[in-house]
Amino acid sequence: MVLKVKIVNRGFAKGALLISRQPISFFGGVDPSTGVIVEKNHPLEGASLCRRILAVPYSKGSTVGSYVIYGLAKRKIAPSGVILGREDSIVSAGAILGGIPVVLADMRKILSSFKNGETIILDARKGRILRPV
Amino acid sequence: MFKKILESTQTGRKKYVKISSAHLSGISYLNIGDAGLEFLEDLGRSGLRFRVRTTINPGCVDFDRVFECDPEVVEKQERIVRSLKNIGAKESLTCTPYLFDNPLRKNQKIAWAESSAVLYANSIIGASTNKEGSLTALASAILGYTTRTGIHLRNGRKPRIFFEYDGELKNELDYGLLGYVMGLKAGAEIPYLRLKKNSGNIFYYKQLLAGFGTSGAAPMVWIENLTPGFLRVKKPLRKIVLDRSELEKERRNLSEEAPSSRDEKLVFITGCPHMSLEEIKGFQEALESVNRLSVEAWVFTSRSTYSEAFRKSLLTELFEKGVRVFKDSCVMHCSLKKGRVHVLTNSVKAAYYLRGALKLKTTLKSLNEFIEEYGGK
Repeated sequence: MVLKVKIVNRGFAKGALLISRQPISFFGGVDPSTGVIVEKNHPLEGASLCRRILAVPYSKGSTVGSYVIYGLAKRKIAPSGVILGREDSIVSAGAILGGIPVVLADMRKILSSFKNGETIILDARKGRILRPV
Repeated sequence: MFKKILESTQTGRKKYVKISSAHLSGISYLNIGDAGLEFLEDLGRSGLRFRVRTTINPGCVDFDRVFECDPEVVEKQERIVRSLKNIGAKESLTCTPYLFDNPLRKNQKIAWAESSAVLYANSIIGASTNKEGSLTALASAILGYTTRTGIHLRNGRKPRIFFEYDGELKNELDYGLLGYVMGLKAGAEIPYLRLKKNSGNIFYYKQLLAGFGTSGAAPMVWIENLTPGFLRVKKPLRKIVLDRSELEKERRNLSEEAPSSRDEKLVFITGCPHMSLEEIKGFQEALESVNRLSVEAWVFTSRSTYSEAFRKSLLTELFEKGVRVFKDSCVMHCSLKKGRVHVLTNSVKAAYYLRGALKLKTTLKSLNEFIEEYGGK
């Protein structure tokens, strides 16, 4: 299974896929000291972003969210890669500052091709997502 | 890295436009936290410099009243400002940079964050800026250009929705509420506004635009008889007539019943966006017939306006009435963070964010309503 994706920030990452069907608010919705989603009633409340490959349709809330992502990267508790459903300058800017690879993909294809929690390879150099052999 | 940030906001062919001015948001330590502080300090050490005149939004501390805030917050806010100065920012600490610190001309292409300033720059002065995010504005300030999208495109200023309001607008609060209602209805579309009874001064429109920037996503409003070039613009066909009841509804949505000042601490807050010299003068004149106020009143303004007002001896009279004048900071002030206060304000934007981010209770009151209710003869 190889899924072609658009590259936003180049890089390469391998990790467990964490799929959020709902948008995430990084400022206020994620604990900057642990990388855990803390937004009340979010479907992923309590889940950790640390070293996961996060698939999220887009982000919501304050533009300061970029700084939260950058801070997670500096503490080495950030997602190792991000798959976005559409352009999102808040997530992209934070990921670029933090050196996290980012791609754009069709979220429906992600949901139909991969299972939440499975290990995937995000190849944001060639623009593809694949399963390790 | 900064080029990539701008690239990440557009798909397809990347296009850019040169800018001659930038204004940054994401300055307050209460907003950006330790992560933002670390990033700006790293950037300050990197040796990069802003290529265009760059001003900055308020922080959360008035540096002449540091005792009102947690010392750790003061120290970190200082470090944020110092880093930005090292990169070349003017220490403006205001959301109204168009008044003194970063003056604009018509048709000037700029990259500004801070929605109320973006709306003012485009709609009142006739400059061109999108609603930049904290980091795209920062990237543009360093690069000297921004993405050629939105308002910078050929049809990017075109209004798509026509609003008409024929009711009365009594004061600055009514204008703010009208802007807020327009933003709710316009979404991302640029509106054209016709007021049947057109009486407001420019600072009423400042409130209208701040309200609009709070609820809407568009970077400008065409205001009939005010926005440069309004005669030549093609009026949109889609027309919505607004009425007073919609303003009243949003006023109720952003207001609780004000408690008695014996039961709870009440504070009247004005200066969101920062008060201009003329507005300070207006407040001072409105207070002339009043001996004292029964609740605290706080005014927020920029450093530059503060020193101008001080020189014109407008402030001493405010001080005599017990009004506290803050600069460098805004209504999202360090001392309100944990404070148990009920806020009265004439700013729709302030009420919206004080409720949302600081979870405070608010009541909307115009300046004159406030003075009538709480001013003792």
